[in-house]
Amino acid sequence: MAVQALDLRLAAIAERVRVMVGPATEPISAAAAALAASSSAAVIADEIVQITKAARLLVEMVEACQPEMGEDGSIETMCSRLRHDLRTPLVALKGYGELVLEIAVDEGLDTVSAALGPLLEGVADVMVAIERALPALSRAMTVEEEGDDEPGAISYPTGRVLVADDSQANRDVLVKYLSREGHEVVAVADGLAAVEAVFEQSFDVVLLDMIMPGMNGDGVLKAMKAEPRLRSLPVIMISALDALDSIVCCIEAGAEDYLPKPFNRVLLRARIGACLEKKRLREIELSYLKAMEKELTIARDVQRSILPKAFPAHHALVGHGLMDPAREIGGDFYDFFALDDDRIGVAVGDVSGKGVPAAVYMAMVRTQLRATALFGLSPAECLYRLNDHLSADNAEGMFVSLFYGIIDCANGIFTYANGGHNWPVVLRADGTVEWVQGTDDLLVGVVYGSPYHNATLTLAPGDSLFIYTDGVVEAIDPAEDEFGKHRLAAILAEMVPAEPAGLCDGVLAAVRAFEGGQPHSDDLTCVAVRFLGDGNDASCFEMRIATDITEIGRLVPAVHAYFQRRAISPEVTYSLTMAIEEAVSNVIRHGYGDSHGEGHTITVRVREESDGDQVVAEVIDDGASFDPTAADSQESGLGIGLLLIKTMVDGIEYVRDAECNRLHMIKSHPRSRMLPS
Amino acid sequence: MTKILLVEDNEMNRDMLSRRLQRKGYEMVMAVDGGEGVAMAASEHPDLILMDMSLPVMNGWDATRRIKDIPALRHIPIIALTAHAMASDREQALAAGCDGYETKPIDLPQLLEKIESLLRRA
Repeated sequence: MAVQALDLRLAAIAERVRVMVGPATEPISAAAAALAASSSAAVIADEIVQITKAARLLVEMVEACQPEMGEDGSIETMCSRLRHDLRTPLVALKGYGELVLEIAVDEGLDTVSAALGPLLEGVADVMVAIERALPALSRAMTVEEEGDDEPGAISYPTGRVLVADDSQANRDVLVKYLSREGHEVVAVADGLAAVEAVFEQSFDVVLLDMIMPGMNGDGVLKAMKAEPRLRSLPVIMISALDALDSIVCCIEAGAEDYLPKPFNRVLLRARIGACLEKKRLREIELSYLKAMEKELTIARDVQRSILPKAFPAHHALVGHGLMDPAREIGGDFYDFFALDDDRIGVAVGDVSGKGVPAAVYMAMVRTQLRATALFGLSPAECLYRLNDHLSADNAEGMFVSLFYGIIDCANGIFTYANGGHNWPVVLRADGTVEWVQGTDDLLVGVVYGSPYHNATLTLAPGDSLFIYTDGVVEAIDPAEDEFGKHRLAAILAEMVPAEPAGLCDGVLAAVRAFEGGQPHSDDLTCVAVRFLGDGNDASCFEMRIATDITEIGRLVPAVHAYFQRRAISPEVTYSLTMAIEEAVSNVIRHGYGDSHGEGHTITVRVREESDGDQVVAEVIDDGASFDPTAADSQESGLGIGLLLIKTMVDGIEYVRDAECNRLHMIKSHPRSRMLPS
Repeated sequence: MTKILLVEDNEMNRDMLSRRLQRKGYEMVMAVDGGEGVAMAASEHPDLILMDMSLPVMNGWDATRRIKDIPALRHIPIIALTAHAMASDREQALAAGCDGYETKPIDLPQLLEKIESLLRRA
């Protein structure tokens, strides 16, 4: 096969010589004959015989052109030898011709002189024809290769190629060759034109000659690498082999490869092909990344949309949930919902897998859990049914670790079941930390018919529950140490008196500090609830709402209920409720700019102070820093709302603390005067 | 009379160039390959050598190097004649010890000028 292809090449070269050089030799034969006929002077007889001989030799050589491969087997060497052989009779013709001309001039042989002109012109023409047939720069390349399209030949992708070379011959050769390979080629003659072209048009690969007038190849390369848009456009430098030093500099400056002169067509083809292939792979990679990024956004949206916005309002229970997603969704979720007036369900789960599949499964688990739980079934029963649902049709082999419990706010009894999830922590009011205990049941969704078991514990007023996912305990520090259960228990013990939101934030901060800034690969979820106890113990109201104006409709009745329970006078109830409403709506409308604070929450707290002599309402938000006590109500545009607040309450205080605005609104409540002394 | 040794394997070109130079008044001696060129340089003591580079038996570069290795012949200027006009040929010729370099086909006036300038220097 290889031998045959080589023979075909040699035959193609011979054919080229015959077709391109053959016709050019005809005027020489004619001129030689005319010269021989022009004179029989003895003084030039020998020379004319030699000229006739050389002309005949040339014609024969061209006609019988049958190049043979040299010892080194290279086409270049063969072409070089062929060129040398063909030029030998030409060198002789030119030399004898000039010699005869000298003699003819000296001897006054005018007819001879006249016949010599066409001969010498003919010699020059044939030399040009040989250069065309076997160009010095591309002897191997210009040869038609029949073997090109044979099966088995490596095929490369095609693209748009810019060729910048000041030599017309090089440009012609490259344009011709690259076009034949199927590339679209644009050729320019200097560096500045190359810069213009790459900035104005789009190319897949650029061939830059090292030495060009105006701006050299390395200058063009630098200009390209300085432009972010062009930085990834591959550049191949063209250079003579002896300029290797500058080639190394160019490759260091970002050139992809280099091509030595004279061009070797196989090398050229392979290097351009490799560049285009690399570019194609990079583009595939980019589009794949883009698609993945889009998927991640979808997954994140799904995940965010299924998380509850606020903890159900209950006077005896406050709670908070937090989920810090990993870049690639890890599948965490939490949920809380009121089952009836006193019972609140709390669930934390971690779905297997990542990305969109995990997000979709998560949404399904959440919906089915709610649907089952709202029947009022016990946690074990819920997990049992959910497990049967999920495992019955589970081609993808997905599952979820799920902790689900119900808190009875009337008595603090917490009933729960655990389907393969991390065990939560109980933080007693006195500062002790206990692990929740029960039956380690199977992950939910794996084995149809798996049993699940209920367990209970009792929360006393002031006790908290902390439920989390493995993103907390399996977080690792730069030395690959795990955060672990002991560290979690220790951190929680330090924070026992904290509010639920404080517990969640504290644990998140501790875990992130532990990781030392490394990217986390898993979602991190915490849910904390604090049992306040019923009746007089519920001296404090706290509620978190989303930054949505409709949340006020949920907030106001809850605040009213609190005031009613605490026997606050209708006048104070009215004023303070209105002040809270105004403060909250101000934050929602102005605190978050155009984002409208999506994903942020506002905390509203109300408590009695000074033995019930005053009621303090606190609005905490993490929006833009804004001090209403300092604002000029006329100019701020928040005028009426602020004015209303100032009229409704007896004092307002503002602090900016930990990136949060904290507005305290104080209303006197002379309860003691109302009581019989 | 100035004696020039022409080392050239192609008979036609050897004849052509020797005729042209004889006509200019030089005495010509000739060799057909590198080996003979070295031998003739030693026996004929030419004033100058014109050395074709692509020669059989011993090529022009090797012949030049050999001649330049012989102390008695070292002073003889050698002009390389080559069919290729590539920079590397020129460098190779000079590296071998050639004193001048001309490409074929020969530009006679230029060659004569070079011959004379080398002879003056010698």
